[in-house]
Amino acid sequence: MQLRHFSVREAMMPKKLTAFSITFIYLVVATLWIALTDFALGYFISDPGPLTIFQTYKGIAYIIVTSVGLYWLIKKHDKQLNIKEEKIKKNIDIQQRERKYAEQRLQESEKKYRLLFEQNPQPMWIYNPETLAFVEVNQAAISHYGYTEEEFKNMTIKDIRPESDIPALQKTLTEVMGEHRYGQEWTHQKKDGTVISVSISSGPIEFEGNQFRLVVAKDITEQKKAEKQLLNSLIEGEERERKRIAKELHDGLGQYLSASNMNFEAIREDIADLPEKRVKQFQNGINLLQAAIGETRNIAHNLMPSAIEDYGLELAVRALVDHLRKSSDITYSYSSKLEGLALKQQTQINLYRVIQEALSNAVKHSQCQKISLQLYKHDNIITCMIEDDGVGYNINSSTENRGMGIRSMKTRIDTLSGDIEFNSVPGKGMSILLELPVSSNIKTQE
Amino acid sequence: MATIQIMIADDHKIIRDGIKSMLENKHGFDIVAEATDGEEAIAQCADTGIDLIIMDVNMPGKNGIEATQHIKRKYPEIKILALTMMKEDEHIRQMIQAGASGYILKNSGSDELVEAIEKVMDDKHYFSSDATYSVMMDLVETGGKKKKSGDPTDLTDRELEVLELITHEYTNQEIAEELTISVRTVDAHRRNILQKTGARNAAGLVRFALENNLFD
Repeated sequence: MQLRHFSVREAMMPKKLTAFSITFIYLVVATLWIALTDFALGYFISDPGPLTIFQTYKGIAYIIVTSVGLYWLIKKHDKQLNIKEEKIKKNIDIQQRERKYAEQRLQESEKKYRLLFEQNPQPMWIYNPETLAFVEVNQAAISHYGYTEEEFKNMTIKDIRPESDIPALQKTLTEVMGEHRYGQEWTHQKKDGTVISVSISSGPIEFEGNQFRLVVAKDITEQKKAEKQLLNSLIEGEERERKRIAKELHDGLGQYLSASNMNFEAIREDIADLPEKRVKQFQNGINLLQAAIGETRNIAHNLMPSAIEDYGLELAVRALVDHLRKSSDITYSYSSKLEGLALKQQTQINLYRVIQEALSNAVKHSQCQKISLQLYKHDNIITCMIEDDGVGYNINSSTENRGMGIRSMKTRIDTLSGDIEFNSVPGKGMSILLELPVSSNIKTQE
Repeated sequence: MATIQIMIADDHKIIRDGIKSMLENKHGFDIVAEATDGEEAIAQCADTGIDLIIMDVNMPGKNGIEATQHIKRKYPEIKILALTMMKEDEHIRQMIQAGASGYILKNSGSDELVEAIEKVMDDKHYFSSDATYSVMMDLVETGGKKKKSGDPTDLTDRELEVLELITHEYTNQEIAEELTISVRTVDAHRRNILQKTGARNAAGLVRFALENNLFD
């Protein structure tokens, strides 16, 4: 069945005619011809005269036959060569077309990605990590920061930051070299001086044959403001609730306890007639009632020191220190000089709470003999320094409980746009430094 | 001796009743009026021959301090004994400034109450023992010996350490390393020391240290 696909010619002829196969066929055919025809002539003709003549005819016939054969073979060979050539040509054509198409696609995609950079709503830029110079900036960066493209290209990434951040920037740059970083928070400054909070993501990029860094900046100023407001209102709500409970303890429970004490006091004289044991029991009852009144007072006071509202932070802290002084053997020193600053209520309460937390930490954990507390205003900063001479401790290896206290101190100071710093070496005491900007913490003029 | 005509001003009825019950068995006291706030107290002073008012400090509307000021201006002969839940120095001071002659806490016993009323009627002052301590402490702190600025005893141990290093010409950075604290904290210490000593710069601090013989 398979034979059907094979023509006889194909079976007999080698598929590809090469110079060798042509010569080989010629050699075989010619040898056979000479041998066979000589043999045939010798068989039929024995006479030498006619034999010579026939030999001549045979030679001529041979030449004719081989010429025709050669012609046919060469022609066939040519044809094969042509087919091959055409095939190659066609291949080259296809390759060229494909290459052209690929180039076109590459161009299109470059254009597309370039557009992704140019038209990206997020400010983006590429900078040279060696010189810190801007290499490329996108449209969003130009409109958000207020510099023109030319201005940008003559600037370094240091120029869009407040002076004070430069050392931190330089430190970070050496750390991030060649790495991807996401969501790092930085402060940037626009051309008009506006300071914004940004979340920066960056990574290495090969651009025009150089190793640069690509930066995406997301303005999170509003987001941070909202977070702070939320935190503020949470703290405010908590303080309001404390105040409410303190007021109820003071105006409700406290009054009931005091009144019942008065009523018992009213019958004190008549008690003398009772047996001694009963008199003792009565006195014991009065003492317990007194303890309850004292406890109620303390709870109410700790919940909301009314002194802050009535007399301001400095006196409230003084009262706090006085109270602590009575309840332990620790020596306290307190000095303050806020120069009559009209601090916001919120600032006073938060600062008071942080001081309260710091002092109670020192009393509970530090085994100190001395605590000093200073509350000063220096130019435009409110500084509060709390020092003890106790055992000190490592902030990082703190227990959960203490960590919680520290976190809430940080949160409170955060809402006041301030900074808190703990300095401690085991065995060398501890100092806590609070710094608040005056401007955002004083009452605004109505 | 004629009975003392007393008015009780407190917004809590149970407290007024409590005070009444403490005084009803005692001789010489007559509770002739009650008021629930400052306004009422002032109004009732007009027609009753009141000798003494037991006045709560915290009342809604016109509080005890304002009412005391008003009454003492208009009726200087009426004595006022302040009454409060809390022993708060500032309350005591303000009530005394407003013209109150004494101060007792709501959890005081009946003996103390009687003693207070009698003292006050005798043109003397009475402070409940807790309150006395607070006011005395306050007098000691403010009126007594007012420390002049630049007393070396004002400096904390850490500040003395920092000051000593400053006199040895250490920079903030060096001090921070020496004491293993942050540069920022050193800077805050330095500012506090300047504030306390009244010096204006490092040279002033060195002079302060020398004048006070702080370091060898």
